[in-house]
Amino acid sequence: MQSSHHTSSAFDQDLYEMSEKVRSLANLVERQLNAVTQSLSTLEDNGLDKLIKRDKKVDKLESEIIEQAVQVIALRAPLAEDLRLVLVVQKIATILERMGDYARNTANRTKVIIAEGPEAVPVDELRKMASLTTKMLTDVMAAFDAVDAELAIKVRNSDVIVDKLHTKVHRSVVKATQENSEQTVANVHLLFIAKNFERIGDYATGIAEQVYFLANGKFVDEFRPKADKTSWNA
Amino acid sequence: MRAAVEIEPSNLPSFTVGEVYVDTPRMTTRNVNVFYGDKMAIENVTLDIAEKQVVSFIGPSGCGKSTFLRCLNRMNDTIANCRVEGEIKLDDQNIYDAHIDVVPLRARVGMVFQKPNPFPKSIYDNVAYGPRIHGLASSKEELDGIVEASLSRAGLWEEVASRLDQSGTGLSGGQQQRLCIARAIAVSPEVILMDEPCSALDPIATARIEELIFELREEFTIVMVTHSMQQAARISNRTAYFHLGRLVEVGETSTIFTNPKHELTNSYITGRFG
Repeated sequence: MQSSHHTSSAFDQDLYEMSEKVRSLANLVERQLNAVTQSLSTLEDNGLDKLIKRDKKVDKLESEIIEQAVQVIALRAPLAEDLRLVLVVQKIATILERMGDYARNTANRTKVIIAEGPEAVPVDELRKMASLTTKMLTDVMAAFDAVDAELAIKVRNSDVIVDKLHTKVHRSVVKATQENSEQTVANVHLLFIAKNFERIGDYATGIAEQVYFLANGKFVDEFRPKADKTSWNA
Repeated sequence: MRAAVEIEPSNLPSFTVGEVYVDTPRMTTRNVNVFYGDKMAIENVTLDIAEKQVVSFIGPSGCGKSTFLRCLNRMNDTIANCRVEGEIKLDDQNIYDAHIDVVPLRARVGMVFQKPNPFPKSIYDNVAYGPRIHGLASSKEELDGIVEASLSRAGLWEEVASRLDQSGTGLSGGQQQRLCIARAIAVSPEVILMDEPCSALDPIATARIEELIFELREEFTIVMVTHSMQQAARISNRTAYFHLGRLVEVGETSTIFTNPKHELTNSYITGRFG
């Protein structure tokens, strides 16, 4: 993105460090998502407590990025592409932190599901949702690295697939609950987990919109296709 | 990261990026070239100066922004080997027409300089000087009124009302600069040119001048040269970026500082050269 070095090399260093930190944060959140997906897919607790604990690291890294953004704004008064980078990095950090929260929340709920041992867990669909949203995160961070607005928009538009899967999972879990009310507790957790992944997809589109702004200096005004019908039609 | 931006003349655009024309221009400049002897200092600058707005000229030292500013009220006439080509109009009158008298022109297009330069006279006489030589007051009462109104508009009246007979040079730097602004507006100019008006002032005095400029733009058209990007961002409606004698880009200040179109503008305002 940056066309050349600043006259002040310390300014270059600040921007570089901020960008690196947000990449580290994205890697950490991706790792959280992968970990929870594995436990959910196998319905075995593969270190879910560790994952839950690790969310503190996510929070800490987000705080560090925001503190650094405040410092850069106060001390360097960034303008144009630099200003956009600082604003976008701190916004992405906040979004990633929320994604991390959803990973942690999913881990908590997965523990309950494993304990309850429900019969009709739509594992395939959930795994698909998880891997799709995780890929959205990977791709959108690649778009951030390359300041690639086109790739960002592609990621943004791909969220519609996650929405469709969410609707499907939602319907099948509601149906399973109707058929067997003894597993209502586990099924409610399953509904929340599906919703968590749907939200993670939404957050990835939020990052995509930030990358678009970084590249173009304006906000996306195109319609984003959506297909989550769970709010009004189960 | 790529290599540092080349700033050779070959990289300069052959035309200005952005909106050079405005709906309500107070001054218009068309294809202006300025030479110091054989050296071309300004090349083919076309720009409208919008009425009752502040436009800031920014750019690295030696880019021609002050030279261009000084063309707007023919201050460059005082430089022996300076030659101006093209057309510069105030309203619909070419200010470089042979019959134009520069004295009334400079009353219509006033100027405030980098270093406060009050006359070695009383505060009152500093402000009254212009109205007197241009015959703007027919009585002492009228002149008193102009002096008070000008000092008030420059935000200085309350500080100096009780000592108008004291020397203007005894004021602080910030007060002196506001006195110079009062002196400039005393002759009711249409346009005020400001050449780095705050560069010799401390941050508080700078803030007061900026506040004043912000208020004055309701009445006057203001053209300002500044090296402070933050200052340009804070108080100007439009910003023009000059580089090696060319007007590279001009546009709404908010756009120039968040999303400039030309790479040279971007490199300059983000501190990558200059």
